Amino acid sequence: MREGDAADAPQFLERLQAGDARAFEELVAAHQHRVFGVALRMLGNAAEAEEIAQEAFLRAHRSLPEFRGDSRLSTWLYAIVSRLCLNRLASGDRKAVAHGEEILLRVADPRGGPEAGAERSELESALHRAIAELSEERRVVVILRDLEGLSYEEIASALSLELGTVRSRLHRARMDLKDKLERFLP
Amino acid sequence: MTCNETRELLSALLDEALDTGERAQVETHLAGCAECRRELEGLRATTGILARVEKARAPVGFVDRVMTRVRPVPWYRRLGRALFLPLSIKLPLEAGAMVVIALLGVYLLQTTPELKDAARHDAPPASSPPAIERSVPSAPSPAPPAPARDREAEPKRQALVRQRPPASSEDDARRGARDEAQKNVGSPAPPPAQEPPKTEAPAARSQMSRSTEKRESGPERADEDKKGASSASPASPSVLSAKQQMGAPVVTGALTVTDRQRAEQSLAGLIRTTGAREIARREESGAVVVEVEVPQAEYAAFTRELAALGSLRLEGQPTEIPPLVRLNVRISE
Repeated sequence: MREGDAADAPQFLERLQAGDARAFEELVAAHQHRVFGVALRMLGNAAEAEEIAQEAFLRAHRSLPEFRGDSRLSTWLYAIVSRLCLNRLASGDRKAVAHGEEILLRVADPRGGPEAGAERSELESALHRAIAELSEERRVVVILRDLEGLSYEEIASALSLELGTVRSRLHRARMDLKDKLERFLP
Repeated sequence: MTCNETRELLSALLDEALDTGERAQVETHLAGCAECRRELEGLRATTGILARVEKARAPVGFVDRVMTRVRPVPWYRRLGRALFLPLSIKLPLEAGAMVVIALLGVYLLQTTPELKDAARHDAPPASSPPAIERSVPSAPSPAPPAPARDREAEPKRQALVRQRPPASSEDDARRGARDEAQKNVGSPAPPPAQEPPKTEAPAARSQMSRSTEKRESGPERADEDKKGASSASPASPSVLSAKQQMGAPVVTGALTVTDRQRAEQSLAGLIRTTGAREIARREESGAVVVEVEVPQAEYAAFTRELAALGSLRLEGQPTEIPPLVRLNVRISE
């Protein structure tokens, strides 16, 4: 069970939809890292990611009375933040983000040691660049699947896509990443 | 199934997102195609790297910041925003409106006499004390209401009476002469003849006493007061002008005579005999104006005698005779 799944209990949903501020605070606390993580990987800038993540929760707060419970709350929040990110990227109304300004991705390496650390840092940079260079449509799919762990169905629901489109975009994204990370692969 | 068809499904195979039929076809192809197996291992390694990426963490205080934005804004903040935001537009507008209102207020104040008077009366007394207060610092302020002023004035008046010097023999003689004149004209006893001014303050005090007693005094008190006024030094012009400001009635008499010099001598005699006193004298074109102050009791006799000197026309006669009547006599031929 992923973080925040307990928040989908019917009683909790009732409290949320009744305007219980405490319940909403619990929802934010449970999903803050996921929502922020998607925004960070999509936008590549922490300040902009926080702005979008806050906006996502504000929109969720406003839309809670209309939430019918067809999907999980987490999927619903992913959908909101993903659309906000895509809209932001499409608008072009963004501050220029210096390439490699922030370390966005940290890859765990069980081997350890100084040499492994240097190699890992190189891998992280390459991975960061590779993800940033993906098209926005592919990037959001690979983030939701490989970094956040959503199922194909959940991604299709969140992005309002056909299942086949999700499968296709994800495969293309992974092939792109494989090509760009080839020298790190065994 | 071809290699291209197989590779399209490799990601789904890794994710176990293929149905049973698709999966069987892909696995059959992979068993006989080393190139596609290498492709699959490459994808598996790539997803392995992605799976090891550490989860991002929202910055500290993120929940609080979201909750601050979510909580309903209090009414006073909403009001403040409505009034002042955006500052760049509303603040200059509101400042301009305040200036216009202030200018309008000043304009109304200056063009409306009632408002102007009200503003003047509202001013604190210390900022614009009446002239009499400047002349007599020890005198009570005229500002308090009448009853309080009477209560304050009475002890001072009595003290003033006690402090008066005993009447001199000259005063007695004058009083005797006045009594004679009173008998002649059949009017109450006039005050003693005037003496030249000596000091300002006692006279001013007596003036104050008179003004406060005017409402309550009977003939006896008025007489006593007149004595006090005469025994004390006469008021100076500055004090008199103050009294004028306080509203002392001024009667104007135009006396037309055939012989002006003689009429002036007769007026001087009349002043002496009635206990009146001359305040000022000035020459005008072909005439002389004598300002006198006549006691209430002698006023009727004074004007009668004055009328006997020539043709007299009086203006501004008060309906109620005050204790002292100010009379400006203009003598011309």
